Amino acid sequence: MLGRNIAHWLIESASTLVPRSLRTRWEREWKAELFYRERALRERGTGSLRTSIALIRPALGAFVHGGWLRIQNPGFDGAFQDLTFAIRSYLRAPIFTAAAVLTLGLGIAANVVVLAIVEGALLKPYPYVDADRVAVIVNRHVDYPGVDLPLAYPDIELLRASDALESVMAVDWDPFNLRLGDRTMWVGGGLVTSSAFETFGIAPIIGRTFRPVEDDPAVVVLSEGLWRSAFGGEDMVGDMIWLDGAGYEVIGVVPATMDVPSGAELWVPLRPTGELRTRNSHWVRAYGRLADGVTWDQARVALDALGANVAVEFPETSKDRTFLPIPIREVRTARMRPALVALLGAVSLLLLIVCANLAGLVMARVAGRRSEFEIRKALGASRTRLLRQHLTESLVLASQGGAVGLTLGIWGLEGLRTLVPEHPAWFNPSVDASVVASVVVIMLLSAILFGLPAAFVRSGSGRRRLAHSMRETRQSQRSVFVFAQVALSTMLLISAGLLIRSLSHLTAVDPGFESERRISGTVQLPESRYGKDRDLVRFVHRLLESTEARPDVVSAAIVTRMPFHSGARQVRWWAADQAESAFRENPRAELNSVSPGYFSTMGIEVQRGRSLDISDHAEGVEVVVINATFARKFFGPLDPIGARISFVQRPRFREIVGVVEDTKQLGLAQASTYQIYVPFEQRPTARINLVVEASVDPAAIAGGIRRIVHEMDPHLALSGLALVDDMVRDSVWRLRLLTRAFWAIGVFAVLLTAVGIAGIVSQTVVHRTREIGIRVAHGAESGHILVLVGRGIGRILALGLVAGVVSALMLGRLARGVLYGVEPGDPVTIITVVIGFAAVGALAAWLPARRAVSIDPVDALRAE
Amino acid sequence: MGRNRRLSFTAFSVLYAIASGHRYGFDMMDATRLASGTVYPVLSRLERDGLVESSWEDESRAKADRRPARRYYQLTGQGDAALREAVQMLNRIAGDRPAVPVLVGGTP
Repeated sequence: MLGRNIAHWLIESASTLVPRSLRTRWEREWKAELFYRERALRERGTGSLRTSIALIRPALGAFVHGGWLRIQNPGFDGAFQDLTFAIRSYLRAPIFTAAAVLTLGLGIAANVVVLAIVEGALLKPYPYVDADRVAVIVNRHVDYPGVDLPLAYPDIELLRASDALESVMAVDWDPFNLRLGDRTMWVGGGLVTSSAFETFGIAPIIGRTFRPVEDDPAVVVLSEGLWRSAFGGEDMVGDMIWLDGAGYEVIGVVPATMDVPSGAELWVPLRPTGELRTRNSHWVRAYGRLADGVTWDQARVALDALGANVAVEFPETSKDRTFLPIPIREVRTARMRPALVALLGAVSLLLLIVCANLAGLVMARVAGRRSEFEIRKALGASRTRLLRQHLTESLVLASQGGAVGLTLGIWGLEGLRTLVPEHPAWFNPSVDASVVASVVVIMLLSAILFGLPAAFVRSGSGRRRLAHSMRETRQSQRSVFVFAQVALSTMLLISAGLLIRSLSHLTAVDPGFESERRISGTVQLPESRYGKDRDLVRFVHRLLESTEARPDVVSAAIVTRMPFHSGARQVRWWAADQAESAFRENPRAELNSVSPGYFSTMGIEVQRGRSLDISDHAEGVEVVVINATFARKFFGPLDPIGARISFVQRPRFREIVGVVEDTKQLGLAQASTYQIYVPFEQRPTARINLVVEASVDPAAIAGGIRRIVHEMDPHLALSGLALVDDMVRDSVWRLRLLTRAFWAIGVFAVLLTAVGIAGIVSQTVVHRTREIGIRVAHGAESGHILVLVGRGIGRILALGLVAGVVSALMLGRLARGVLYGVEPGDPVTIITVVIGFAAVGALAAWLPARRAVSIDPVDALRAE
Repeated sequence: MGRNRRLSFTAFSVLYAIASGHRYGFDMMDATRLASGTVYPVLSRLERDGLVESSWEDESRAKADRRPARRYYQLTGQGDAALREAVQMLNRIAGDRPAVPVLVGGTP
């Protein structure tokens, strides 16, 4: 059985660490335990794979035990001697050592960075009490499989009654204008129900959190960050603060670990009114904590049953809907997971390439030291002793590589932080104890991977006395490593190539608007003072007037949801020639309220009909503008101008007056959606985005337009001010970062492989010097000599490329999640990589092979 | 020896496992759910410090069972005392709530 053999082999290897006086008894004990364990497992009918794991795992611990015993008996029977000998021999070969340590260091550094990120994102516990029991509760709808939909407010009460959940909270995101002295700050806020903080197990630092029934709704809980930065961390429970121009009493402060909704710095009670209280609106995000003893499976079943009841009871609003609890980590990491898995795969491949490369180097070095080992053997050194010496040398090399790798990795992580524009508060990758522990394991494994092959060649030397066959063995083993390197590097390069093609496809996508010289920011108009549509319209008029009055502004406009900033509201609608119930079949459309100048300010082309203008005011005929995809899908060849559609909420027919080109609302990768624009005056919104086209560098006018807002209403702030160019560029940062990482890893892998190829060719040249000399003496041409030397490596390169392409094709579907506009089997990428790699390989082989051509037959024959 | 006062958690677990009748290294791993790389160094340290002692099981018994003889561990008097002291301390901390049952005798 393989598992048993590996375990026994591990015990024997570990026994070399154990002081000789204890070794026999030590080995006997471990083997007896393994024997007993294996038999017990077999009698229990455990599968052979699980048995193997159950044997190999404890056998790895034998190394720790052996090491411990060794440390307890220092210097005993030569371990210390091995160590000093290893260090001395590395000092004698500084270039080899530096190259090996740096190579391994870089390979390990890449792993440190990725492991820290993976740990931070996927493994590190969230700072909530029992974070693994916190669920995001979503609605699932039969028509939208896999899409997390919000809940209706009445659902919260039903979920609270469920035995599967200990507590449930509902949340909505709402920004506030916070007045501080004579300035106004825009802060993210959460509207939450009671038990919001209990669900996450978060207790206040001072004061209290919300009661189940809050008598006075004008109370606020602050985050620790805001409390310290804006209020100096004083005890201010009971004080009043001004939000959107209204007074709120501070009742408590919670630690920074409260990060729901993302970016919230204060929380006020959620008090929905009107339509929002009913089952007609699905808008609430909910979180829950599983009750004690309830498993995720049980919770899923319970909420599914609850959803089925609701669907039966309220078919009008809840048919085909059900509830689903999802672990919070799964929801938060869903978008990163494919990229992280791809990265983890890439750095593991890189480490394998590094080990294969080092194995070749170590083997060449061992070959050079053959006489040293022969002498030591002749002087009576046992096989175990030499093996141990070899293991010690590998470990010394690996631990230096590990130290270098850890250092480089920590630097790399720091550097990476500056490259990533934004990351959520819960995601803070760092090199902690578990990453260091993984590095130690990686180090040990690499020492075994790159050190042992050479050890086996050496220990076989007794049996293979003939120098010639020795050489052959080494040569063919090194070929195997080069083959592995070529294959693995090919896989990495193909992945990097696919990502580069994805990125170039994505950045070539036309977002449908001009981003150059545009700047945009958000204003939230509080209901307390802008409760009437009239007030909103008046504010927007004055804002646009003042902004456009600036000499450096070309034009300004208002839009409810800026593209690339946030998703637009989805509406259901039906057309005048459809039955009203058709809204169930019609796909939802994105709805945006815009001021008349929006299309021209954003450079969005009007393809048919007209743009919106000042005649589309509140008292005018109600009109809409649709996008090209909408027109094509629903009107086909017919002219949509003059057709009428109605929204489900506030049903009234509105006339289509124009068709504009498609814009991407959520990002470049988004597929075309159906979009409807209505005049701002006919459907004003409290949250508005101001977008300005400047005649100068838009960054220069940021301060100016921020001042305009503040002067109009000192209780308001213009937030999230950003260049539209940056918003578009930042939208692809994940893919860009991943592409850069793969590119760097791929280039490094190819360089290593090239070194490996050059090494094996130069070795061939050295070994066949005599033969080449004779051929040259017989008049062989230089081309012929090159073929002779290069034939072997050419075959390895070709085989490696084929193996690499085949594996890349097989693994390709794993990468599909991060690719855009390119298939995993993309022939352009594969052919480019194969040709490019073949060229690099040929160059790497040609450089040392040149030497063969210049061999002087006389010197060559004299050399032997 | 002052060492008793510094009984680590893992050492305590291993001593407690032995006192509960888990006498072989691998059995202790199962009982304590600690890795072999933790249990064995602890065992060696406890043996060095005189808290446990080890012997080989009866060769004829192992032969009858057609397997190699296993090495088993038992508490010395000193180990038994150290364990009791630790358990008493835990029970002191727990007050009148029951914490850890005291096992009588370490040797089977």
